[in-house]
Amino acid sequence: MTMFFQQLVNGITQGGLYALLAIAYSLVYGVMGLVNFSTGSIYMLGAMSSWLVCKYIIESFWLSVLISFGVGFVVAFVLEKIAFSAIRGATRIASLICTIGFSQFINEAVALIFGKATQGMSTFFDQELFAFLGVHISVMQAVLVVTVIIILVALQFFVYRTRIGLAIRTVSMDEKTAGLMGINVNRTISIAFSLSGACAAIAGLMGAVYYRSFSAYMGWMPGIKSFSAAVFGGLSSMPGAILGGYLMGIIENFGVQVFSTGYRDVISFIVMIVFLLVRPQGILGSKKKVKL
Amino acid sequence: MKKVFMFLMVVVLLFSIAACGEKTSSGSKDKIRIALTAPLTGNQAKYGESFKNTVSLACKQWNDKGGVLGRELELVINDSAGDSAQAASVAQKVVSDSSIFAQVGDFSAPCSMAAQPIYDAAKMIQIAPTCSAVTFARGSKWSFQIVGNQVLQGRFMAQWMFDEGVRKVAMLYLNNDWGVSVKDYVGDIFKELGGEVVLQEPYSDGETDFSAALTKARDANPDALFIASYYNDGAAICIQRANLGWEIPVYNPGTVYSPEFLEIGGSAVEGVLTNVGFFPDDPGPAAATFVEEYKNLYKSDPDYYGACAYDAFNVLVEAIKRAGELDNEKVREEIAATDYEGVTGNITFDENGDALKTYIKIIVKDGKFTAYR
Amino acid sequence: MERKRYSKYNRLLVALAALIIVLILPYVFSGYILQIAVYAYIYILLASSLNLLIGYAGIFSMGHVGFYCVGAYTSALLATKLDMPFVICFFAAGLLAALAGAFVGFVALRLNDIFFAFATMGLSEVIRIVIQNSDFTNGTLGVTGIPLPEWFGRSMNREEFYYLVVVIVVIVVVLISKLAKSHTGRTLAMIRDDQNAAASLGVNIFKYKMMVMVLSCFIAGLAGSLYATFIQYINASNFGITVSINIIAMVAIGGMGTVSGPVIGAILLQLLPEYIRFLSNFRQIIYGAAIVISIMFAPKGLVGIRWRRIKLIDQLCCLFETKLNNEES
Repeated sequence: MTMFFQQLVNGITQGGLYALLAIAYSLVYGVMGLVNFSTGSIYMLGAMSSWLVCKYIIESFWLSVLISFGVGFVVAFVLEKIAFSAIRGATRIASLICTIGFSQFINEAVALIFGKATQGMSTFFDQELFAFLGVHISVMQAVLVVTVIIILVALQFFVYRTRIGLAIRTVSMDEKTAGLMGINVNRTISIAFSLSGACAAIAGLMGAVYYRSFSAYMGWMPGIKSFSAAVFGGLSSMPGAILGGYLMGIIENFGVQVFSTGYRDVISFIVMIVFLLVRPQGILGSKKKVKL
Repeated sequence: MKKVFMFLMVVVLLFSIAACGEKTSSGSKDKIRIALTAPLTGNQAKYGESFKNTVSLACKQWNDKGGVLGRELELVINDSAGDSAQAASVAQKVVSDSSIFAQVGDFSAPCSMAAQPIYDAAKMIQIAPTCSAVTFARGSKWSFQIVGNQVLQGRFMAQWMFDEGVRKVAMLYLNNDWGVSVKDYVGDIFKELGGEVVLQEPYSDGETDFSAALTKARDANPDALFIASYYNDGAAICIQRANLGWEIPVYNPGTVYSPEFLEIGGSAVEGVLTNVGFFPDDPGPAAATFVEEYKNLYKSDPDYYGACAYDAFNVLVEAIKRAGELDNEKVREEIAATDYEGVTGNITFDENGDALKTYIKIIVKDGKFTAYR
Repeated sequence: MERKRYSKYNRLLVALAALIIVLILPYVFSGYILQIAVYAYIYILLASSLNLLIGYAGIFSMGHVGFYCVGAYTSALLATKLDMPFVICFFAAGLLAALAGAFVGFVALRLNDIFFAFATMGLSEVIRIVIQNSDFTNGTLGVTGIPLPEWFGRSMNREEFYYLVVVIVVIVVVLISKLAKSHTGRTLAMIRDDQNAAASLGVNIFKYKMMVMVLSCFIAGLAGSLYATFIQYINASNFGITVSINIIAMVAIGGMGTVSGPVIGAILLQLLPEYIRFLSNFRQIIYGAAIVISIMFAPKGLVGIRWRRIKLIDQLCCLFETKLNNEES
């Protein structure tokens, strides 16, 4: 019983990271119908910036959040300009390949500057919140859940209650018509893309704090797996992406309990492939928005 | 036309650059040339650097004493980048250079083993300092390794755990050639001793989240946790174990012995039990001078892997000295007959070419590695 | 008319010269260069086969390494466990990889481009992880002692194997260029450029995509077999996603949808870092940056750049051509 609840807690914590990244995928997919392959690298950059802040400036969690958010936003902004805006009109494949190149470049550049080895990270919120029947929950795990909720609520507010949000929704429905209606499509896409980068960077910061470490390749697997999670929950719907993230985290952790850690990555890939075949719109997604 | 023209240009250019590089590498005939292959770039660059430092030091020490057989020693350093395809091409390069007599390296087992068939075919001696894979040394009569294979180390660790009263052990291991053989040998010997292995859980390279595996291990209710991990995963496992509030002795076969382990792990790694063959804080007489000279030269502590490479080079040169001539058959015989007091302990080889080693027990105490008593 | 014949004659001449260089390589250089050259040739096979998917059919696969891995393991296991001769291992590697490709294609080709990319990447990781965890493939220890092929009652030496690889690469590249010019090649290009238009003309899109997928995976499997046989030791950790990305880089930099593009890309990216040692630390960065730069500034790759627009090169070429003209007359 203890085991069951502990695995649930583990799954929810890890799922929180996936959910944040899945939101990032879902935002971009919503407006462009494309995927940013370097989301995992932005996750790593978020972790890196918080690590730098804590190591060289001040050990402050909130400053780290701010800086990570900024770094993610700016990097994604630049990335969108290069990989999508500059070559708009080229094939979709060209953009995808370009983001892969970017991802590779970012990872390797960081590896070259800070080394490929894992670095230690300052600890925040590592006190125990409570222990119940042998199930231990740390403050950090609670912070992670709260962060996901805050970001989800903020994004929902942003998308449904502001003018830019309206523009984003319009562009995601029909890009051409939105342009004809006088919406600045390029700017809208750019904003959505940058926000997705910021989300990924926040996820990276959370990952770094939770695992107390940072390394140049840490974004690779979360990047791929959270895409699986987004597909699982519904790439076209933000609550779907979050649900997918949490479910994926929980499934993985129970998967480890039943099979073994060696097959952990296989589990998430198989879930993704099965869903792509059987229900490509995901659990909560709507069918017409996913073009297959 | 222009495409083919360009293709031609590229091919000619590349191979002519290669040809230039090739020419410069043949050195003077009167020196004894020994190759060192190590991952100087790539993921394992840290260890490669250490190999390079210690072997250069050993080479310098021999030359200060006047070389061997009246000839100076020269080191030819090659980078394998920790990639087995690259290691094989480096091996080709080494065997095709007739002025190179023998080879020290590589660091990792996949690299050493990818290079092995090439050295074997060329009848060149290959001493891999840290290749502890059981299949390595017995794969060729020209291959030796210094670190000791996992049968011996496994027996040491299993015996230690058993002596401490551990009867049920859970094992987490890195799923690569090294981790798997550590798990096999420690596990088998522990069972032979009468203990029980309640869980053997592999994890992939690059895994960061161990909480699920640890929860599973805790559920199996063992007396001790054995982790076959390098320092980064080892530290992550210890941290997440602490987060779970799980108090249990943690054993490791020597691979977490590195300052980074203490730095990343912080208070969570307190009490971790591991072993080393060589311990800078408590060195034997041979090791004391090595540590001192290394510190003078490189301003840092040598690590265990580097010390193995240092011994590998010395074993080789000692054997050349005893053989009295540069004949690979004779030198091979002499290496096989080695009985050398190295910095990593006394070194003799079994019939396969695996070194027989002794180990020192250490524990993390107050944020430092200290001898275990 | 005159111009065309002249250029054809030249092209043949240059190709012949290139072939001579490739053929005399083992006599001029040592085993090291040979080793690297064979890797480069194997990458030519991989890049060309991936180019069939990306460049000709517009199918973006990120899991090409999976089929390469299947080929390498099939060949290695047949050779070491069943002592099969090389010819059988070689073709079995191709066939099994093609079978895997057919399966993946059947499962995933109905998806759109990004989903297909992620699905193939996921499947290639699944293949690697399963191999790494299974005892049958010797798990993480890898397969050792893979023999070189035998002929005339003895085992080949490395030089002979080099020529074998050259022959295979030439055959494959020539066949690919024939395919590109054939009816099938044109149909594929149509599918790539406008799938709906192709469908409305009654083209069975799925059939064509499936065909090119199987063919591409077959070639990747052959490449795997050559790799395993040549290096004599394989380990699942050599078949990670980075390899897929490297192959994509080769295709993108050389030029998608051209025959010579992947060849040039593979040779360039494989050989350049070998020689310029100080670059070896930057190798992966260069791959990443090269992808971005070539997509942005030279979307058709090196082959697609109009070199004649660069003045210096134009002058050089003019000089070269007039010289050839003079010799001809």
